[in-house]
Amino acid sequence: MKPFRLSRRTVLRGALGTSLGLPMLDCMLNGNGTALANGAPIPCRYFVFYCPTSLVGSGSRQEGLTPTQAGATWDVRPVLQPLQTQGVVADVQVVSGLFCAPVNVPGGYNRDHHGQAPSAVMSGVRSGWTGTLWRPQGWSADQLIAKVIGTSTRFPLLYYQLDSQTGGTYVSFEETNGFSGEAARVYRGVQPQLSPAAAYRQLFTNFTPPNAMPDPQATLELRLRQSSLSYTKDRITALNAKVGAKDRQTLDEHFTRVRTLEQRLASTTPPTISPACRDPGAITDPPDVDTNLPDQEARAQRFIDCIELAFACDATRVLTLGGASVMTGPGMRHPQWRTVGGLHGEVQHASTQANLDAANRWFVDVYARVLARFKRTVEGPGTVLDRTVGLFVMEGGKGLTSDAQRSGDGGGDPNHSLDNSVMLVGGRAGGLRPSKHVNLSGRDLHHGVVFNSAMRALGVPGQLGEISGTVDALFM
Amino acid sequence: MRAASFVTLALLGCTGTIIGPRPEVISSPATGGGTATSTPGGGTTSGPEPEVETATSAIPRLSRREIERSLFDVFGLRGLATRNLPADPPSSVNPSTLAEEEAFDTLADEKAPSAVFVEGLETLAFEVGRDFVANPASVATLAGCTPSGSGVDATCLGQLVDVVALRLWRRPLTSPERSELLTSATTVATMYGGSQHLVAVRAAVTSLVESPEFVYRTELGTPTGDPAVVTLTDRELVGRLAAFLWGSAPTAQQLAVVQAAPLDDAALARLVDGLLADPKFDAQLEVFHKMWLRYDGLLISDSALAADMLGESDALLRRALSQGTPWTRLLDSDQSYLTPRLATHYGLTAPASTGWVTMPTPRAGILSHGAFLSLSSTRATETLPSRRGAMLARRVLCQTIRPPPKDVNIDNGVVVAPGSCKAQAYQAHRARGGACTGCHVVLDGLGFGFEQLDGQGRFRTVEPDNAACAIQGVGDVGGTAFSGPKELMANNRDLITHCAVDQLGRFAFRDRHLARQHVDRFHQAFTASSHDFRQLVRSIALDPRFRLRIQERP
Repeated sequence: MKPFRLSRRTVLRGALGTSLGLPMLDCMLNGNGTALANGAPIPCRYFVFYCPTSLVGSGSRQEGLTPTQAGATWDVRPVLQPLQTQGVVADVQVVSGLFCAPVNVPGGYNRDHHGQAPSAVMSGVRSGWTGTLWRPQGWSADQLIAKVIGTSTRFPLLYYQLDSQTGGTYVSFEETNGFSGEAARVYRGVQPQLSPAAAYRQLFTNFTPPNAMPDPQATLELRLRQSSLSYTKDRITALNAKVGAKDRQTLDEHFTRVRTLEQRLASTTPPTISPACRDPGAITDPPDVDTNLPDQEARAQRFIDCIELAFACDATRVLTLGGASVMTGPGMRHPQWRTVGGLHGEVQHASTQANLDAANRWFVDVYARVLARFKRTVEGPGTVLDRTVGLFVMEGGKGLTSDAQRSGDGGGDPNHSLDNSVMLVGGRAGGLRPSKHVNLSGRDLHHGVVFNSAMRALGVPGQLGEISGTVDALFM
Repeated sequence: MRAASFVTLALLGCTGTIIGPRPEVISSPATGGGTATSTPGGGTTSGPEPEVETATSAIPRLSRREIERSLFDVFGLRGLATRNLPADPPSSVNPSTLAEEEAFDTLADEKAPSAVFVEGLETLAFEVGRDFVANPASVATLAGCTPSGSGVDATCLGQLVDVVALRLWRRPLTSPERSELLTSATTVATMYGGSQHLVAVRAAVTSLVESPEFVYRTELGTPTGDPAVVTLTDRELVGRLAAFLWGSAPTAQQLAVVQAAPLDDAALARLVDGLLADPKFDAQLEVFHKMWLRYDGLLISDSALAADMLGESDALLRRALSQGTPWTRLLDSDQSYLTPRLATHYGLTAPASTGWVTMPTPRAGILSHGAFLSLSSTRATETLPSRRGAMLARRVLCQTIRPPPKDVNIDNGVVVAPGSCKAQAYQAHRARGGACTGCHVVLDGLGFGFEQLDGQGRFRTVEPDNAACAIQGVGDVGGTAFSGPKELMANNRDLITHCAVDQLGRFAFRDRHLARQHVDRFHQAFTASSHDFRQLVRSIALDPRFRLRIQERP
């Protein structure tokens, strides 16, 4: 590993090259232990994991995730076992009985489960009646949160995806210019980072921790990058003057991205850094296990490393991790389910509930490992997890009746339903009180109430799209 | 001769519509849906009215593959674009039809400058600069000079900048552009105490790679008599030809040709023939076919078997593209390149060693290969005939399949009750009528014609889960029965070769489709040449339409 060049009084290097930080209280906190030495408060963070599966497979109504007991004595079902294995079961709350309706109501979707429902869940705005199909109609929660708590970090938001396949409709939505024939402003899925190696480079290239000794080479490279970005902006401006309206929109967007990057490089805001912040050395993209069979476990592990460090190094305070793009892209494959049809085509629709439960358990394990990393990152009197909201949301729930008013695509497939949905809420930010099962069955509350609760915990005003209200039980 | 039409079938109450070879007139946003006007690029317009063409971008962006290839050809650097840039999406929703279509990576429409792309490009440019100057000998070779003195050799730096800009931007720098670049690169270099010249080179190269003129090819063109049509300049045409025929940047020599004199027909033909003679063209032909047929995305869990299957398909592709061989061999060859293991897998007598083996009916061509057949399967051996039919319809017959009605869940396929036969279950499903019938008549007709070949390319005559269910393997296209890939090709040669030309047009023109009148012309010539694919490509490259761009009417 490559240690940062922090001054000797703050870092002792272990035999394996790891950095042993002095207790944070000694070097960075104020006398009360509630703020950092530069006066900034210990930040809160937001993390969401999007699981690209439903609770049940086609034709099944039994599943191994939803607890049967509510309250503090809830039972950890097999799919949620990784929470115990990773030591975070007491740091999580389970919220069951959520419902996103396939009807024209606030936060509803126009029958098409894969095409419209994820937009409705993640934006809280009804989807599929107006605007371009397969497009969201509002901001996603991570973007709303980033506007408030992500303004002082290098990256307002980071969005990674486990599955390496491109395409599909993503789960983080931003506002952008509409194209010809569309409204002036529309919402669109943000492209996630699919490469752990690129995610690493993004975090650590040109990153210099505070109190580090000046590095002439790093200074030169920063100046070189800034010079090139400035030249690029000039070139975009020049080209923009020669093209038509639609192409100008493209170049305007390109210019905006370049300027954002330029501002980030120029930022002198001292980052809020935990002693756990370290450069692990280059992270690479793992080779495929077999022909067209990615090493999903290795990819997940590397992204987990990046996520831990992104928060520890305060590179961002908002991070979204997609399991796959909506509907698992063309078919996410994994050595655990190395089926021809992949996660969507086969595991969800043409296999057994046991196989789907096993796949879901893997996704829960990834989520649990992220929380475990937050839990081991000491910060102030506690850990990163103490000041984080970590959500787990699934693409589908469990349709218990063949009711077109409660399940998409005509209501016939329990898999294509957002009835009886489950979300997980990890962390203790803003007064969240974990270690219980909150059963909301029968109340037809939209997933947005959980996102709103996360926003409340983080001090973010407003609500998700058309959905109002929070789940007070999460704070009791 | 017009290809067989699916339009008749599509009209049979199919709400989930399949559109056959494109209708006579498609209203264009540029013309506000009016009647057809000019036919850019000439071509005969006898018969049906020409299709009105839609506007395309004046700044089509390079794909990741093209960026990778260009950087290798200019700097000798490999892998940087692949590791820094996101892959181009393999499919796209057509806003006109709302159908999800398979897309070539050249499709200009799907290249919004996302944060991931722009930041990846910045990192890519940084790494190109860094890695390029790590080999000073390469720098000197490309520049054609060795710097003198300890500081920045302005003359030598200028030479390098001129060479690199010409290749990457496909045009020389203007004086102000050159001056600004050299000034900024020198300014950065003077901060450095070491080899200032190499730092200046690094700064300049980074800027040139990162600038929009590299990743966006400009096709601004010059006006014609029609405000909706521009003619590419000679330099822009060279850039478009290099992208189409090589997937890379043009050479300095090619750009020098158009710098020296206007490109007349003879010079253009020499230029194109030079591109076609280069091995990069052979590689580009394979790129097109793999992106079209997608067989290298095969879903076979046995890696040794997968390698054999890829070898089988690659060998047939190369044979079909070789000089003097009709391209149609790709789809109708009764020979396949088999390893002993693959032959055994297929249930054939294993040859003594890897080589060409005569295949029995119904096999013929690449559509009977395990690699291709694995693509539409769910389980290793199980097929979903509708899904396979949809793949064939889109990919080989160029049919547009609109999304199903919102209440239809297509993920589960047609339910086949335990103990029943798949063919009867699908027949009963079609007979129910309603929203599904129209599409399934077409899709099942295709899929069942291939049903005797399982998801790994093995021949079978009974269903794997029910030996009492015989598999007839008979389907139909446009009301004409067929059994297997051999008969599909034999009965629909015109339709399939027309689709191949259509697909090539999409790849070449970086658009969702090329107007029907042009596809028809190219197809006529392709047929007349006894399906010489290289000649087809040449004819497209030399066609007047290739140097035009359609733009929005002011």
